[in-house]
Amino acid sequence: MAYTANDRAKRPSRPRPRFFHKRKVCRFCVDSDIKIDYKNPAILRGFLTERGKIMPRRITGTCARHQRALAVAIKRARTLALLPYVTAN
Amino acid sequence: MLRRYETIFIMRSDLQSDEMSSLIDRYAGIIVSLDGKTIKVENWGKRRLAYPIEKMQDGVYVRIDFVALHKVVIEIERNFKIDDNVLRFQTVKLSDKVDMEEIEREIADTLKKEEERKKEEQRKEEKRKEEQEKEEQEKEAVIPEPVIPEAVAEEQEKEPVISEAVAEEQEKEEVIPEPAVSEAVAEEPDGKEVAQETSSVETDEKKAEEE
Repeated sequence: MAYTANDRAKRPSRPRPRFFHKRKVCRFCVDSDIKIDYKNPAILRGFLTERGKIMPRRITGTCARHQRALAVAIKRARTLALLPYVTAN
Repeated sequence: MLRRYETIFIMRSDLQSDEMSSLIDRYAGIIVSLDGKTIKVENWGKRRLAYPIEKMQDGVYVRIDFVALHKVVIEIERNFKIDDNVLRFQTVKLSDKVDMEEIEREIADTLKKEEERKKEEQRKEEKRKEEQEKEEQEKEAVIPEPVIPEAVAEEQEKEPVISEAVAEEQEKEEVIPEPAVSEAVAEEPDGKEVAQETSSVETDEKKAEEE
């Protein structure tokens, strides 16, 4: 069955996924050895942008529960000057 | 109701080490004096701060793990606020319920570990000392060998012979490239002059060396 220009026009305007989209998985769910701890800034650093902002879930793929724990841990680490609030260029 | 807390505070890094230890003892003492129990006192040492606090770039981090009533937390934080040597502090509640038996066990464990650590350090120090002694002995053993200067003198005597051999080799090298040049002449008459020039330069250099 061949598509013509006419067929394409009739099709409901539902956005197709254009790019192949790799499913992200929560790193803390996959590997239970990694614990979210505000005393361990090395792990938390991976979830900060270059500017020192907390990365959104849609980028890191962290699940809701762990994202909440992460945010708290990062904020605690910030008050102890283990992580920056802002990083100047 | 007893709860388990953990307090981390940052001391100024420009204090003397005895001042630091007295500060740590003071805060641990506050907990004990108000019927709390310190489980672990960790000194993380000097660390770089992610951002300057009170114009200080470094701070000494100390972590106190303890079991106490909430009024102890209030008291210890009041003291932190007064103390100018403390840059920052943060207390986190670790658990609401406390099993005293488990905590006694933990305290015993940490004490054991500290003892083991001390023993290991002692062992390491002993090893270091032994190695140092060995090295010193080896040095002493190396020094009394007066044979080396003689050997060096012999080598120096041999050296002029080697240089002569090198000169001979250089002469041979001079001889060898000539047929190659003639071949080049046969193939490329333009490249002939260049080749001759280069070879003449080389011979000049070698003569200079020989002289």
